Amino acid sequence: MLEINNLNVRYGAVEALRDVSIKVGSGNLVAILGANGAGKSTLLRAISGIVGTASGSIALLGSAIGGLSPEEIVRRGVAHVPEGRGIFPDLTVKENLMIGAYARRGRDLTADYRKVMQMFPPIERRERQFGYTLSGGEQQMLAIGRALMAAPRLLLADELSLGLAPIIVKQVFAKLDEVRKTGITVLVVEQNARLAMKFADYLYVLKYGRVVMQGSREEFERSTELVDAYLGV
Amino acid sequence: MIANLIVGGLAAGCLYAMVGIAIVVVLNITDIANFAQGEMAMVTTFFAYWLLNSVGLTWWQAVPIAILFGLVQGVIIQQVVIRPLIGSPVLSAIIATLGLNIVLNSVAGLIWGHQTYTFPSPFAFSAPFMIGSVPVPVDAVVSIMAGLAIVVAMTWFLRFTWIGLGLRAASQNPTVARMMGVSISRSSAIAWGLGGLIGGIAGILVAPSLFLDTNLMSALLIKAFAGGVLGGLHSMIGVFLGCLALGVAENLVGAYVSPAFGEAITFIIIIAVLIVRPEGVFGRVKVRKV
Ligand SMILES: Nc1ncnc2c1ncn2[C@@H]1O[C@H](COP(=O)(O)OP(=O)(O)O)[C@@H](O)[C@H]1O
Ligand SMILES: [Mg+2]
Repeated sequence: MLEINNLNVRYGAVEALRDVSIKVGSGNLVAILGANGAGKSTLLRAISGIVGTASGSIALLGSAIGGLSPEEIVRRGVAHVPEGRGIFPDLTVKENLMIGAYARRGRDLTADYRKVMQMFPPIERRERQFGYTLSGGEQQMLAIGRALMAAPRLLLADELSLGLAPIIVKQVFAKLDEVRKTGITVLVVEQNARLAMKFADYLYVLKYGRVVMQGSREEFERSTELVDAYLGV
Repeated sequence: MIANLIVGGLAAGCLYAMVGIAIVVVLNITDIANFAQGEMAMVTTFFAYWLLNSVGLTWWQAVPIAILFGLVQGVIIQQVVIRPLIGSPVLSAIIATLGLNIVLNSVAGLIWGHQTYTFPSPFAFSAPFMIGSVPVPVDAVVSIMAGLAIVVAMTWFLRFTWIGLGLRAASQNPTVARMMGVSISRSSAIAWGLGGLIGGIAGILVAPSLFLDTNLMSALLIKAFAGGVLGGLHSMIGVFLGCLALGVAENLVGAYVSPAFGEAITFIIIIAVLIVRPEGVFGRVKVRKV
């Protein structure tokens, strides 16, 4: 689905990503672990076209998407659940979902809208409320629903667990697992290694912008101490 | 008497509101306070004058073309002046609009000189409209109808169209809006185009009574900002109501207190509101963090 080779991203003098290569197979859930500042969000932003890349390649289903506009990348099937959820505070829940389909505007979206609503009952009840009135957990569900409105092939999810109570985090990840079961490939970014290891098929660890470890879930489960050492916990 | 003063105030307020709405659309979508909004409208009005006097079009032919010119002018200015500044501090763009203000004024002065022109209006000599026993001048009715039409059309556009939804998203969180596929530079161009269009309508409607010269819009721009501050610069309806209130207050104070004071009321309102309620009467303080 997604193949990234030797990706470098800089913010001025800061080298946020250095020679990062990752692969995400179709239908998989892949997790990127890393401490704060490791470059996880930057990686997702580079895939989405929000930050430019200095060198390296990003390919989606075999065709290069590096350098395309964010709009074109969404249209090709990449949806982004941003860090901190990024709910539009003064748009209603319905509008927040519809904006997820902005790149598909003009098509008939009623069936997709109904499907997403059914997937998130707590959101359905709040259809007409403004985004800012929702709780953190509801906002996270809404942010996932909004991404699904893009009808993505690949869903990027940035630190879904951030600032949420453990029980809510569990619910959110259960939803993400549901999403994956509908055939959508998922790439998540997490600081919480235990959580990610429960759901991911394959994992990477980023440190100072470099991939320092990778492996299947089983391999990661056998080396939890090493993972913890990399994450500094 | 008082009814006439109120109607006259509402008509003036609607003209302030058009400039105010032009400013607020650009401000909310791009974070740029466009101090050149008035001069852009002045240039559009001179363009309409040129169509009327040199090309020889009728008012009804010239005005739609001039309004379209206002839109195109806004988009071109955004592309040439503002777009290169996307990503640099907002202050640079605001200073650029101050510079643009001077440039447009000088260019208009070079082309049209600094004398005063009479701008025609098809409504100037029509018999007043009677609402009950109150005679209302037709040009006042036209200003009020145009003001209302702009508010309704803009609200509809922002609320019920895809482009409008994208603009609102871009104004609330540009980065996330980009992730959804909303182009920020296109949003900014649309905002500037709308600003140019709406400001141009104000210029064309105000020119018959103020006479046309290169300083046509300077008072209106200040009053639009004052009405905007009064109503809250974050909401279009707030700006509209704030400008109406300012127009009526000016007229009433001018008649019952002193004509000189009618003008001063603008500044008294700006300062009083900024001290007592900086978010505007209809504004709401943004304290939440999402
Ligand atoms: N807009 C930016 N400008 C400059 N530096 C940035 C910017 N965004 C992130 N960085 C830096 O890039 C590095 C990686 O950041 P980020 O991708 O946000 O990490 P993570 O998501 O893993 O916490 C950090 O050192 C951070 O300070
Ligand atoms: Mg991050």
